[in-house]
Amino acid sequence: MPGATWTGAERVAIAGEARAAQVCQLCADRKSALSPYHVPGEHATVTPLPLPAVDAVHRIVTDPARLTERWLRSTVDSGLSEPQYVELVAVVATLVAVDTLALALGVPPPALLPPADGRPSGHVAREAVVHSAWVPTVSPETARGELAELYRDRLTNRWGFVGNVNRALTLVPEEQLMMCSLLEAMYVPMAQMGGGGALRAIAPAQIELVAATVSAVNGCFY
Amino acid sequence: MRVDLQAVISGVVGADTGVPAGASLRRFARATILGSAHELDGARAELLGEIGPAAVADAAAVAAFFNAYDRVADATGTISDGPMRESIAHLLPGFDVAAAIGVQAR
Repeated sequence: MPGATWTGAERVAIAGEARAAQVCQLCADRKSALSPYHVPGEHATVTPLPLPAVDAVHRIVTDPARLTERWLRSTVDSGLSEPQYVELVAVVATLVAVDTLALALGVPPPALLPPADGRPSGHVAREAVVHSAWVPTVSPETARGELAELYRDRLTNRWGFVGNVNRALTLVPEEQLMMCSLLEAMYVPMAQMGGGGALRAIAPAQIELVAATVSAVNGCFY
Repeated sequence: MRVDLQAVISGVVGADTGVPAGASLRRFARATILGSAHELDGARAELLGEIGPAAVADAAAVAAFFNAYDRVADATGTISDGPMRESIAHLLPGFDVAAAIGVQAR
């Protein structure tokens, strides 16, 4: 399906590029380098996406913990708009979630579907400002319409708190909505955080142990 | 249940966290992200024998989601939450989370 800023074909290409990044020699060289920003070369690209998009996809897949705000600014200066970047992050994250689940279960990753025709919706939250991340986000206090409903009904935990990561994609509301659906299906709905864990076959402490282990392995400070 | 948070955040997979099946869960999560196919197959089989297929499926989903969500946080430069930092400071006085996992705080 088309997104807010990318066509359906481009979104499928982003997903395909995310898979290609896993066998990209340049990414492997950068991953093992002291500084990933001083290793020249060309990505093993498999799509006609613009180079700033290819580089963003590959870095997010293979070395996310060493992304910097300076790199993001240079990527935006190279022609990738902030909404395009945020949507790209969401598509990559979704692909990573699906492929990691397949890997963990020992089954092949699903084939990418053919893209649907249509133009991007252009739906971007103009009220977003830089506050809790490098990219603009919409705060719960200033959200309107469906985003306000999303915050109220699905992104606020039972203590009335919205984590910054749960607003990271709000510049492109459809992507925040999609990520919320993924969160609820694979983790725990925010409104049930701290509950008895009846939704899952593993206990809340076990869920958090798995989550903390993965984030520590990934070197994710958040 | 008493959970050893320092053991949870440490890199020692076999550390006793106090969480039921904790060592097997951590081995499985770590192998999913870093391990070879052989290591992951072994970790999955061990966990399957300990907690059963439905629980393994849920553990796999959580690991997969956080492998993705970590990328959302990193790629958007999301800063850590004040209440989260305060909770950690309350639960683990003097504990340097950033140093423990070897990353820089934003």
